[in-house]
Amino acid sequence: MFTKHLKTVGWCLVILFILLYGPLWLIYSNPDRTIPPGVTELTITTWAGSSAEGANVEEEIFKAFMAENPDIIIRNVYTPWITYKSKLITMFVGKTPPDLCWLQMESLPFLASRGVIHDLTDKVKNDPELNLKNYYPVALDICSWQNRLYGLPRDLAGWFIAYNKDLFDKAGVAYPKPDWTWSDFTRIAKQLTKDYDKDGHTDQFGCWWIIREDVMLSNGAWLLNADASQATCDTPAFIESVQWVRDLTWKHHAAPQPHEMHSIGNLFLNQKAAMHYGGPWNIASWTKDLNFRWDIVNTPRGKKGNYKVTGGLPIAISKGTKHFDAAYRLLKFLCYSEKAQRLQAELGIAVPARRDLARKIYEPLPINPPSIHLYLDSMDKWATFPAHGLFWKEVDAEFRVGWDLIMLDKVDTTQELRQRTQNINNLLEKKAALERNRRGS
Amino acid sequence: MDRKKKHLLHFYLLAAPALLGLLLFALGPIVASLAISFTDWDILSKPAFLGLKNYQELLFHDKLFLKSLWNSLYYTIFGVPLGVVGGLLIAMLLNTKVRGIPIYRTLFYLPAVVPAVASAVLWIWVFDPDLGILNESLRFIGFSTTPKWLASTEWAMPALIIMSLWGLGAGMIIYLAGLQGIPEHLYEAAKIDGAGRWHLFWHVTVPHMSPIIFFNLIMGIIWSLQGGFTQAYIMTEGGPANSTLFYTYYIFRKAFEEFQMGYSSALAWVLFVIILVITALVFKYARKKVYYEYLGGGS
Repeated sequence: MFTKHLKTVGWCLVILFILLYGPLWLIYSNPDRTIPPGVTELTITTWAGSSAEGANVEEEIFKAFMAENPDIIIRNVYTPWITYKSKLITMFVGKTPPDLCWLQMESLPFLASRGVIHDLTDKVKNDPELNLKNYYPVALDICSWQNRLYGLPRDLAGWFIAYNKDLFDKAGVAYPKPDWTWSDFTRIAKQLTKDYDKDGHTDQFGCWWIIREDVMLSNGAWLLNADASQATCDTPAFIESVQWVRDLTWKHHAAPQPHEMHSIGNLFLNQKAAMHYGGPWNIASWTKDLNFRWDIVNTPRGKKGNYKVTGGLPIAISKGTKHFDAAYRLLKFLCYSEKAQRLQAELGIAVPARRDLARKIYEPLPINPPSIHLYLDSMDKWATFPAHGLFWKEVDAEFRVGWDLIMLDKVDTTQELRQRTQNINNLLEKKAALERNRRGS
Repeated sequence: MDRKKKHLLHFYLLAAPALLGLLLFALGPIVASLAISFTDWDILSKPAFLGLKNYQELLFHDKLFLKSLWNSLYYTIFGVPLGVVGGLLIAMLLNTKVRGIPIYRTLFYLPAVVPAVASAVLWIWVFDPDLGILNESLRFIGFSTTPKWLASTEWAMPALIIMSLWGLGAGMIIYLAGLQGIPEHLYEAAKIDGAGRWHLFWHVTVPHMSPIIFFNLIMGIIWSLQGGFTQAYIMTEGGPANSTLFYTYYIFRKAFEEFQMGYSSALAWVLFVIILVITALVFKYARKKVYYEYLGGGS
């Protein structure tokens, strides 16, 4: 009797198991993934695929590499951007790290300090096939931590200001000059802010929104000092930069106030804002979709010059890789070879990290607006975040509270920034103590 | 093997998958999180034992702990009563004999099955200060100034409380089942005794519904104190100026953005204790008002 029941229960469990895992096995088992002898499989984590074109280009690049290197096959572990960092760190913790990984810029100091990605400084310097001088300086900055190189840069993207020529012409305002300043920006934005029907509501803004970091950097200000050990958001240059953004929004109302930013749609695309911060990632869709004449201009000059926040894609090699040489070959292909740089440049979402290839490949792309050469000219002066530090997320979260209150016009700018400086310094002090404890020093 | 032992073996065999799941995926992590809460652990380094430092830090020095706790309490204090009363009232309306009542019931229940992320995106549009349907309606009925909702430190939380009422259907369906279980003859007897609508509601409906109201109150408190995550994650990122930084979103931020697993585990355990205490207090004081028919009165 009992044996009979036991059998029934056993069979039920077997059937349940097959029903649960059978379909998964059928879906995920791929006979093509059998690795032939003498062939190395490399895994790379990416967040490519935010667009279908992006995903296809990545596949094209990988195929091109595999065609040149038949002894290597690539497995792309795709993760959406929003969960990428968690997934990557979980892979490291689970002792199943990828061989190579794309890195979000603020993750690099954390992963480098925890020793899970390779320090490539010496390897790269001694590689006769690789000339680091071919890269834009900022491209190497985004791959560095404490003056050591932990990856190679694939591409770069910084902000420019796009402007609607039709709206400029309609208002009789001259187009921005390449060497314009933030004062010029204010003047032009004010001239282009219009209340056509005189109902007290702005119908057209001078600018859609402002990248505060560009204003700060060009004025020689930043949240943290060079080694990210102290907050510096109470310096006169910092206060002045923040106050400038606040005035543009509240005093001149030439940019939307926070509640107006919630409005449906992008005012620049709807021709209700004359200028708009944008980047290379916007160009392809704007060229296709905008039904007005437009061009781009560099972000204005501040007291320290024309600096802007730069994003880019560092690719690193995991310390857990068992195939360092193969991984290094792939890294060089992705970040240095003309073939890969050309394929991704033609997608038009970022500029190659190599200066020579940016000029040769990216500049002539037919999708680009007329003044793209000025944008590329400026790239030698681009700066990355001067200091991210290990605790960037926490610092940024603390600063953002003050920023919100300032931009809601609720507090005095100077007092609030002094308060935030004090809070960030307290936070950094605690974090530094924890970090010392972690390292047992 | 005797019959009793066989039954016991069968029981454990059949319960094994659920028990294993509980041990591996619930109890194990719960115990682990308690141990982790006494450490400083960023996942990639070895955990460093801190003793009670995480708890001391959050209880005595962390302003965001108090801020996020207050935000979650605020959400609970206003959201739960509105949800309990609103759900009951709608259930009563939907318990009437009107033509097409199944359609109304479906319509009211529908938002409860809409995924939270989809609702959040929808409500971003509703709360748009300039073009959203809510402010358009307020302007239509004569309000000259309208709230800036999610862009305002004062109105962002009320906005999310209003949004929480969108999910009344879940409680409503339980109330509806309860209302249909009240014997009709009680109403008839009360009417013969001259009871009006209010008396029928207060002396017949409410006592019979009190166990269900109590259940929804307890569950509402627990869910609300743990709630707000999706709204904060999708709609506000905890802002502006941390005005919608819910406790659970703060735990998430500490764990998965800043990778302070020890600290976030300590936060989670403090929340557990807070919920436990509040639930116990509500049990102690509100349970006396609950009418259990099988006990013949308040228990």
